[in-house]
Amino acid sequence: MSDPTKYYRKPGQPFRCGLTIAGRPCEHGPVGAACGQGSTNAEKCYPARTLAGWTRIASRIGTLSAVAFLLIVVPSTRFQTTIAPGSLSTTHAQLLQSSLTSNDPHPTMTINSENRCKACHPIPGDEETTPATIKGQLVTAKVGAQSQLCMKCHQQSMPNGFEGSPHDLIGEQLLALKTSSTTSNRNRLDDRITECSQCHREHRGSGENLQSITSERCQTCHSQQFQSFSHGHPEFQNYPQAKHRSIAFDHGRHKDLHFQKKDTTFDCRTCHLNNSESGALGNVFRSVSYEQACAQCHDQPLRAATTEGMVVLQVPSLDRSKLKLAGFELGEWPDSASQLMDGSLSPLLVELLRGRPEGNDILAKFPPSGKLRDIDLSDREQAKMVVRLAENVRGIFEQLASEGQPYIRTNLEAHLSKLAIEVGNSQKLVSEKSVSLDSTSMATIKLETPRLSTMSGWLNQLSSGLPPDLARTARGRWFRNNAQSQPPNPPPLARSTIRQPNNIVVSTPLQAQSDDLLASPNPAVNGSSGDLDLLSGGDLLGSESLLAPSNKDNLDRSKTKSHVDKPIKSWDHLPYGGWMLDESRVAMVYVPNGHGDPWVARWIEWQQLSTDPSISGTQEQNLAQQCTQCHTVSRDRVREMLQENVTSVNNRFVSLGNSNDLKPTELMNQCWKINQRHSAERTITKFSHTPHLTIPTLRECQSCHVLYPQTAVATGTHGWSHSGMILHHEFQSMQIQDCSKCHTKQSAGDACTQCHNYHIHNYDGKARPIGEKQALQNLGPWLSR
Amino acid sequence: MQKSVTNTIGRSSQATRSESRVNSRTVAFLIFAIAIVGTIAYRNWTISHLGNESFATGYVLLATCVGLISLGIRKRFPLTSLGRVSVWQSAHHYLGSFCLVAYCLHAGVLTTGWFESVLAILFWTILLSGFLSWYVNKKSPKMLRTAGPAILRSDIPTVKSRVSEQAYQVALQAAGSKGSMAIAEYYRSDLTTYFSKPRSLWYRLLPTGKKKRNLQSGLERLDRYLDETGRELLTRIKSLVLEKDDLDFQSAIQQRVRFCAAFHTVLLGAFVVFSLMHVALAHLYSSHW
Repeated sequence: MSDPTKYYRKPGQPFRCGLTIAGRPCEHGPVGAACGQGSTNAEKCYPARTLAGWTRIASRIGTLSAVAFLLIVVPSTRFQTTIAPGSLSTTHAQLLQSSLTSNDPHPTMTINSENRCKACHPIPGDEETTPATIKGQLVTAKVGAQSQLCMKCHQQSMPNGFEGSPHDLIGEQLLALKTSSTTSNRNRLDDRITECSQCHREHRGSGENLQSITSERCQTCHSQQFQSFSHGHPEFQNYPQAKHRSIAFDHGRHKDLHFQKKDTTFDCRTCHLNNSESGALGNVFRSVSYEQACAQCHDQPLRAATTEGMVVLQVPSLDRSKLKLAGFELGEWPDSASQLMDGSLSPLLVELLRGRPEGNDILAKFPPSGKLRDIDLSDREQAKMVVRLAENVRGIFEQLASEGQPYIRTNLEAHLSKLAIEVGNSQKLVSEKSVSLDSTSMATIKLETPRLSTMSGWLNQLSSGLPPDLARTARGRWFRNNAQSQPPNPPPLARSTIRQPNNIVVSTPLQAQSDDLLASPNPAVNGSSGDLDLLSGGDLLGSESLLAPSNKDNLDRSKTKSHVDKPIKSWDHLPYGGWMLDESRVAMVYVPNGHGDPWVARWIEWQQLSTDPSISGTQEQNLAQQCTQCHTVSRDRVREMLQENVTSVNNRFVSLGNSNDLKPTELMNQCWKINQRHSAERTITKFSHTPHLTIPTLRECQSCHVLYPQTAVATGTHGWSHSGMILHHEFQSMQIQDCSKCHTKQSAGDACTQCHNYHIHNYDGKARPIGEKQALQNLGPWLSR
Repeated sequence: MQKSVTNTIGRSSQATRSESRVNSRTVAFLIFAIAIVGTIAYRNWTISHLGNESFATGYVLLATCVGLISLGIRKRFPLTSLGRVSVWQSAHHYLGSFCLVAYCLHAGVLTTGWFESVLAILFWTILLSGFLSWYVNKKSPKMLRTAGPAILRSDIPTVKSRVSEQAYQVALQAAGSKGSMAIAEYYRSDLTTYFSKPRSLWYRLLPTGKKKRNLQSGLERLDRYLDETGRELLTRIKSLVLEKDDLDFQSAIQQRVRFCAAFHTVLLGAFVVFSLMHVALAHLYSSHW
């Protein structure tokens, strides 16, 4: 007889004989859940389930439950929240949880509980999650579909993010980055496409900081690995880097010279700290306002310099008598501008002349120096040109009086269009001439009308400053028969009185600055009198001297008749700025309203743009010099400013600080305002003063920002004055030891991302040094003095 | 002489086996250590190349799980060409330990998210029950040896039945004599349940000798009421009580081993389903592998 328990010793059987418990196992054993002996068994047997059998049942139940769970959950609305591998970070979570409706009239996707995953994860075959267009702009993105979905929201802060290029750089900047890399890294950079999720890992809880990237990830490319910031980090190279400054401020000279003279403490916080305001970097600014930082010393000199105003449109001084000798008649011309050939054509007059049929011909015959005194009136051709010049000037005043500001604008616009073509700018200037001002037509205005371009707004502002009424008055006074139809000219100023900074009014001879005139060997100027005296009534003044009997009568009459005839003093009549007719200079003069006059800004910008190298001496320099003493307004910068809203053909992405974000007026002031650091501005190195200034030892700015000693500046090796603001720096470069004292892993932290940004907008690494020539160009007129 | 030679050969072969076991354990431990270091290095390499380390460690974990499951498959195919089950079992233990490291590298200790949490619970349950089973398997032989000769669990009911029957016969004999009536009375009051009913759940979970000691002392107290025959019967029934307790102890220990093993495998199916779903979801929703 075989062993009856043999069957049960075999492991894994689901049943055992019911008689086993009674100690009488059946040799047949159970078959499944039934007795193996069947009905023939005399003793009723109930096979019992073994542990293996129960385990098998439990395992099947578990597996089927898992499958059932998935079958129930997958098609349900809770599927997406169920399969999420963890909570989202706070910023993304509130995006999905919010029930806000999008302002976008054509949203690509509305986030709700059913498609919350699709908001960030592309689903194969789902067109909604594989964006071919972003904001209607065709994008040939190099990054994957998921990163493209990230960029739908982050495009503004990372305009080049679709490229997936290292540090978001493209074009020249990427090239510069490659050039600055080692050879091995350069090869890696070539085909490197970086996806967002390679560094930013979501679904790690609300407390997870998506921006906290481990230093190891940085060292993927930055293969010059080092132990920590304090051990092995490359030395700082000229940090903080010299930035292009819009204000030419020489820290060294102010500290060692100007402040010492005034016996005043040179305190950095006066100009860089504003506790009542908070910027991108806390209360530390590149510079605070003019009123707080500069006005104390610079306001009075500036007001004194602008008291006399600036000549905007001047009637050129021509010699009526010599023209008569040559057989020509000057025609209607103000007496005070009919004595001698003097000065040059004002810039605006040149532009307006260009707009006339004969203008270019006249200008072409002008002497290369641009000086009227260099015109030889004995030459009939030149004398004839002068007469034609006079006729055209009269015409200009006539047109200005009758057509008003549009006349100025049209001429300026035409000239700037030529300039734009010269620089290869394809921007089409928008003319508002055709825009109807009828308020009843508001309903008919199409919303597709292009927004006001910076250039257009700039021209409007420039033109709006010129008062046509003043031109009409000037035409009446200077170009009509004064004796018959017009009231007599108010007496010109024989002597100009200039208010000094300390408000002491002193008398100085008129045109005392015109050294050339006094030194000129030209007999036409010097005449035969030898000793030249402007007030002597010699040949210089001619028969119609300002102090000649007839004019003396006028002067006397003016004194007795009315206050209008009294000599006009700009600082008396226009202490708060404005327009006036200057009879002595025979010009329309604008007196600025102190610092920050917007029309003066536009005027100087236009002067910078319209400086014509072919006609030297045409630029009115005095006031411009006063402004550009501190403000580095160059021709190139103005041009950049006006073209800033032009999307480059090579760069399909909108650049940061674009006119989409800034108003035209804000853009216009880019040349003048301090370039405060923008919160969105991302450079490769980041630094915030605020946490550092809480440390007592660092509250003194000089603890980090140390000026080069004066000896170094004097030798021209370092400093502002000698080498320009970009090539050399007036502050000594900081050393790594200055930072590594605190920035260790244990104290202030030493992760790469603590001081470096990955996503940057500009790369100004060592591969892109700006040449000296470029630096000097940027400095503009400031260095030329 | 021949006996001493045999002893010498026996000792020598025992020493060789022991030495071989030490060597193979050292090799296995070295492989285990290398695997851990290699996985960590692979993960760091992936991170330093901006790869997705979750996928790197995930695939390592998946491969490990497949290796672990293969023991169950091996058991279902009793072919000697596949190697000894004990070797597979040993490899299973090392792989299980490695699996713990791989999982921590992959997902960390704590997991968030509904689906991931269920998967994590399944994983930890299987892993910890595996470790418990391993521990119980290691400890049980020694414990069984203290309870007399080992008996197969399938034989225990038969032996128990026999012991019960013997105890019943002793009680019948005791009831027939006046000098041993106390034994029959004691059997009726205390030992009937002990011999006929299974032990309590607590005993099966944590078997102790308390009951045995109580019964033994109770039988000791009967001594003064017994004559010579009664004392003989008392000695016999005491040995049967001990034998029954040993059988219960062996049954409990073997049941515990099997229960741990069953618990270790009962959730495996659900774990496999969730794991495959996890792999599919990871590939579907991740931008780079």
